[in-house]
This record gives sequence, structure tokens and C-alpha cells, in this order.
Amino acid sequence: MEEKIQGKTVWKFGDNFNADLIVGSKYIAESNAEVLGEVCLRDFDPEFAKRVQPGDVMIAGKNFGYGHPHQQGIVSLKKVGVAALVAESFYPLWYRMAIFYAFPIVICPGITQNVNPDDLLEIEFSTGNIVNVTTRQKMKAEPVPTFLMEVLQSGGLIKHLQKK
Amino acid sequence: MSLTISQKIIAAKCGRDQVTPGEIVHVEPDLVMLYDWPGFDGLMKNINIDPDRVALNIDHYFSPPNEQIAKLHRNFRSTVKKFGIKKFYDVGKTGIGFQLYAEEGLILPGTFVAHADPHVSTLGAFGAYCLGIGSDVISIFLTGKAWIKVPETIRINIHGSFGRHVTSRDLFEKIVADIGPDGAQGKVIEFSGPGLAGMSMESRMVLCNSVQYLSAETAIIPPDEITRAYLSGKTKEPWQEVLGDEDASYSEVLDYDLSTLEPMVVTPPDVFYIKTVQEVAGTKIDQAIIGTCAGGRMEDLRIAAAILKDHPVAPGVRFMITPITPAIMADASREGLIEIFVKAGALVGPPSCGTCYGGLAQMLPGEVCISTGTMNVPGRLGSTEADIYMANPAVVTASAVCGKITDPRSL
Repeated sequence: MEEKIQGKTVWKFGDNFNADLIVGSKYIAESNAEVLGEVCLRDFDPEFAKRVQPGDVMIAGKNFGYGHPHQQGIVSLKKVGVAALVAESFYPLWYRMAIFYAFPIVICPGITQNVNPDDLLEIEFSTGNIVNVTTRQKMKAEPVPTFLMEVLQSGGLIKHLQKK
Repeated sequence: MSLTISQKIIAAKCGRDQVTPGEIVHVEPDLVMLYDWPGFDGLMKNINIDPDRVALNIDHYFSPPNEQIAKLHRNFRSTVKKFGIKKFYDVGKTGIGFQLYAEEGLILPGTFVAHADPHVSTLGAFGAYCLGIGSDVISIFLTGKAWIKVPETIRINIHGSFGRHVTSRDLFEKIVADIGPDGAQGKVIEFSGPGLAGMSMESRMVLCNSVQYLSAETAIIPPDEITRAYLSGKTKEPWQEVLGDEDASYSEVLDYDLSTLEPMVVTPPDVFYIKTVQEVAGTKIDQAIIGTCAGGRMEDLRIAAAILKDHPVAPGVRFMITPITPAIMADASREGLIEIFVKAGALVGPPSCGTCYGGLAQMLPGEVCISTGTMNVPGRLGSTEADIYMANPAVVTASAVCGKITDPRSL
């Protein structure tokens, strides 16, 4: 995982966004990452998988990943190259699953007020410093607990266990 | 320091005297469970722990609908053989795990139970700490441990008793309506109070079934006489009951009087859009379902039969009833309930999760279902343009016989 990234805000989710809506309920048993990438947010924007660029970032409201957090949504976001998802807060099991898959997630209260689609965001994971480069607004994310940061930096839970 | 029941169990499972909410600890669960979902077989390639700490069952596919699932089942069977897992429930001897494991006496008060699926909170009704941790179960298979963040506890005191055609499901939906979908984010819900004395283990399991929709970690009910009576004769294993300290601190304490509740209906497009049955009465339905891990227990089936013995299923409605386990199927048969269902025109199916996640009962655009299921996110049962309502078994059955969402108290 890179220490610091800069990416365009490609998507803004509302509050309590249901984890299954990322790929659609139809794909919650799918294990092929290629397929999951192709259907990423398709029900909201059929062109999304073509439009998103590797390195883009997403922001979300409260409690992102609500419901029954099947991992397919995380695999899908990783496959299309989303570099980070910054939310007001996360649904606990979605947060855990994101750590498992080393998908960079950041909790930053106030993010939805300060960032809009297409804004360029700079995120420094170790300090939690976030800058909206487009508006020059600075924000502070909650620090990721040390152990979880180690898992993220190892490349996910399985790689972390292998290292130990 | 005074601890809640959950904090005490967590402390014991990480070898400590106490734990503090917010800290991350590594616990050693007593039992880790999985069911037959594509990909879960891959989490069990290496099982380094005592095989008696592992329980597996078939419930999402009661019979393989294709070769992919047939292979999944074969992989489960070869895993069981390879690692010497005795707690395995295969086709014909299995039902929905979140009831089956209770019937088998595997869920003991004071223990820590892990599963990939957060609906395992259902079994928190036994005074066990039951946590859904997704793919992290692999960590338990490999190292015996999993990380958890020690939660704060919300205590909900229950008073009074349920009115006619109101069940513990309605209490749960009322709590969701009151505190909202993130109202218990990262916390554990502890149910307590004098009203529990009138609630059976079945009713308690339904109450604890879906606390994930409050974004809670899980739910727990301190063990009592009703818990012990249920477990009596089901296990030879000893257990050590854990109770919270009387002066333990709670992040919030809420009170509910069961006698003031009424039947609730979860409406599309997600589980936190909740109304009273009167607000949605009259909505035409095409399909009705009693089953899933939130329904299909004896009490649910008796409620359905009490209505169906005098009222046939409405023309044009497909009503499917799936008893939750083979034992419940047998009990329902012995009581004559199955015959009532069949004569009324309901389809009785084998125990399966299929009617909840869309393995069965798929719908077309514009169709409407009312179910005792657990999720109604668009596309859950086929088309994303089909609507899923969810309610207690009395509302579902009353709706099935009237062809539209109906308050069972009006029949």
C-alpha cells in the first residue's frame, strides 16, 4: 500500500449504502474478479466500469457497506482500480472485510460536506491527512489502529498471517 | 472494573481479566462454523485447530442446482474427511444452521462462536458471544484466533408481553425504526428485563437474528431457566454460564413494553424502511414466504396453521413454507400442520436458505413478495424491479390468504 495517494473522486455514495448494491444481488455468489469488475455499480451507471480509472477514489456517507457485506463488492472495487474509499463511517463487517482484502478505507467525519465528484483528493494514510486539492480544503481522518495498519501494509489478512 | 456479559466472554477468550471498549484483541473462539456458500470451501484448505472446534452444514443449497454447487458440496465432504470434522450436517440431516446448531446443543452459554455470516447473532440467544467475521474465519482455521474490536454494549430492557399476532420480530423492527440502521454501529445489543420470561428460545432467536441491521456486532441474552430447559438433554458438554456485573456500564439503556407493539412491515428498498402493517395494508402480493433463519420455527408454523385451517391461499398467490430444520419438519408433521398447509394450497419445501437469497422463489419485474426473510435489497429474489416486504408469520399468512398485505388482527 502506498503511503500517500492522489486521485479523482469518481463516486459519491449516500448514507447506509448497501454492500450488495456495488455489484448487485445477482453476483453475490460470483468468485470471478473479471466478472465482478465488469458489473461494478452497473445498476447505477452502465458505463461506470469503462469510465473509472485506476487510482480514482470514492467517498461515502455514514455506515457504508450496510446489510450483509458479501466480499464481492470489495473485490469489484479493487478490480476496477479504486485506490481508496473515504467514508463518514463504515458498517463494521464491511470495514473488516476491506481490511481482509487490503482495500484502503479511511474514516473521515465531514468528508461528504467537503468533497464532491471530480474533486482531486490527496490522502496520506499514516497521518490521516486529507486534502481536497481542488478546493484546498484540509481534513483529518481517524487514525487506523496499528494492528489493522499492519494488515493493510502486509497486503491483507492472508499475507499478514503468512508473514507471521 | 465491572464488565458486561459480552466483555467478560471476550476477556476470557483472550486470556485476560478485563478488556476495554475500543481496543483490538485476539480471541480464541470455542467454535467456528460455515455453510455451503461458493468460496467458503476455499477458506478451509488448511485447518490447524482441533476439528471439534469446527462445525459445518449444508443449508444454502439443499440439493445442488448445478455442477458448481455439487463440487462445493463435494469439497465440504472432503474437508470433513481430511481434517476429521465430526460436526458436519449433510443433505437429509441438515437444516438452516442458525437453528440446527441450537437443536444439536452446540451453542453453550458463555462460549465464543464465530461464523462468516453475521446472522449467527441468532445464537446469541443462548448467552454465547456469536460474531460474524466474513472471510476472517480463515484466521481461526489457521491460527485458532481472530481479531476483534471490543464493543460497547447497548442494553435493551424488555417489559410486558406480546399482544395478539405480534412477535419478537416486531420488537426488533420497532427498535430499527427507533434507533436507525446505524443506531448500534459496532456495539453489542444485550436484551434483558422481565419480559424475557415470557419469550421462548425460538422467540429469542428471532429477536437476535438480524441485529446486523442496526449495524451491531451481535446480540446476546443472559442465560436463564428457559435457556437451560432448552439445552437440557441436547448436550452432554458442561458449560460455564457468564453473566454481566450488575454495575457494568452501558453506552445506552432502552426500555420496550411488548404490550404496546403492533405488527410491523419492512418495505422496499432496504431493511430499515419500516412501517406498521396498517400503513401498507392493501398492497397486492404475488408471493408469500415463511421460512429462512428468521422464520420457519414451530411457533411460526403454528401461527400460519391457525390462519390457514380456516382460510385457503388466495388465487394467484404462491405461498411457500419451508420448516427450518428436519426436526421442525417432523414436529410440524406430527402436529398436523403440514396437512393444513397442503390443504390450504401452500407449497411445503425442504429446509433451505433459498427463499431468502434467491436460490428459490425468483420474481419478475413488478411482482411483490411478503416474507419472513432477512433481506429485501433490490434483486435479492430475482428482478431488481420486484418488491420484497418482510413481516412476522401472522402478517405473511394473512396476506397470503387475502392476496394483499393484511393486518392479521382484522381476519
